[in-house]
Amino acid sequence: MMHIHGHGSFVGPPVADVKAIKAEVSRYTRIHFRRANRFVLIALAGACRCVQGHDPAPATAIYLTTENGNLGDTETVLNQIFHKHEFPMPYNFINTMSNTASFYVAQSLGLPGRNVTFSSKQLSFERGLELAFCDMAMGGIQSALIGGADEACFSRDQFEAKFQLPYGQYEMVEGSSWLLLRRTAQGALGALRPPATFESAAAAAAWIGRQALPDTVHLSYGILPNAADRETIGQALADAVPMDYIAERGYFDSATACGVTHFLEQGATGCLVHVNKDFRDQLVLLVVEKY
Amino acid sequence: MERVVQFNMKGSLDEALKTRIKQLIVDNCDLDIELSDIDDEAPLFDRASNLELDSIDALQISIAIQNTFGIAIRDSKEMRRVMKSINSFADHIQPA
Repeated sequence: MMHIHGHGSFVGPPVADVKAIKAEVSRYTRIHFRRANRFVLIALAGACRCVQGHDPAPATAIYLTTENGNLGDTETVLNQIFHKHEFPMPYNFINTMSNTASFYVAQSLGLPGRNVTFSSKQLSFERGLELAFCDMAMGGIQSALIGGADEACFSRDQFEAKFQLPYGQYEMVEGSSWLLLRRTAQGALGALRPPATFESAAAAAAWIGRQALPDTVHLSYGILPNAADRETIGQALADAVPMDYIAERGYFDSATACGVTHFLEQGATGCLVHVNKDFRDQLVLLVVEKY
Repeated sequence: MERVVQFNMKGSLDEALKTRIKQLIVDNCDLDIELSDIDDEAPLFDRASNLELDSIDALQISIAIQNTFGIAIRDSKEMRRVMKSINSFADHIQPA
């Protein structure tokens, strides 16, 4: 079990001016990130909010999880090379490197420890958490800053076609959500159990039945679990309070992180069971307890 | 792409060209500085420079110059010579 000591989130509309995000970041740090692009700034804004007032130890490991990484600059660089037949601009090119954002987070927060950028499609945050659990269990780290960050898709059509959503069901947003985790329970505001992976909703429901959960359980879903998954799991948690954070906050890839911070920001007590799925039909359950 | 019309005026004497070069540097390197604070003769990459530029900025500027003026800087030796100051930059783009 890892204990949650801090959380923070930055979620904004996809059309937000980069200067506005830069201004938001500058509220927390004096470093002028002139080479940072949209994705980097999104990651920074959430991370800065998360650690505010917590003074993380320098050895705190950083796990940045993302489905798409530096989407905007990757598109820009490909456009410069193949469409305009120009050399890519160095800033754009550097920002396509997968670990640029986590480097900036480390630099701004003064965390020179372990630093990983991790992606695993729709389950990026869950898989990143597994890695953090593993590192903590092996004694490699005592504290971790883990976040999910993604820019919005290029278009609503693309977004809705990808997830086979009806038009206008969810708002597209972009952002990052972060958790500051420590091995110690002292001063913690909650805890995370290791993510549990299943091949079917029935197996997930059976697992839920074996868990000792608080009286009040909140239940939330990622974007891919379908009606049948929800029916099966809903039966195992018949008294659960639904929490549709995607409807409330909007959707960005790696949104599980947003779901967890959304739960922690609410006045609700008890625990959250979050159910997510990828296109390979792997279901991952995450249990978040609130003290 | 914009080509510089060759005048007889040396680039370092062309205030309009120097202003464009300064603007290009400020825009491409996202500098928070007034154009008037950039000295025409001061070293651009000196540690004491108020621009605080480094080698990645040099690459950024050289590609921007190539895309804007169609003038390529071929190697690091030439880059050091051309990017010494705004005046040397202007003279490279617009020789006498």
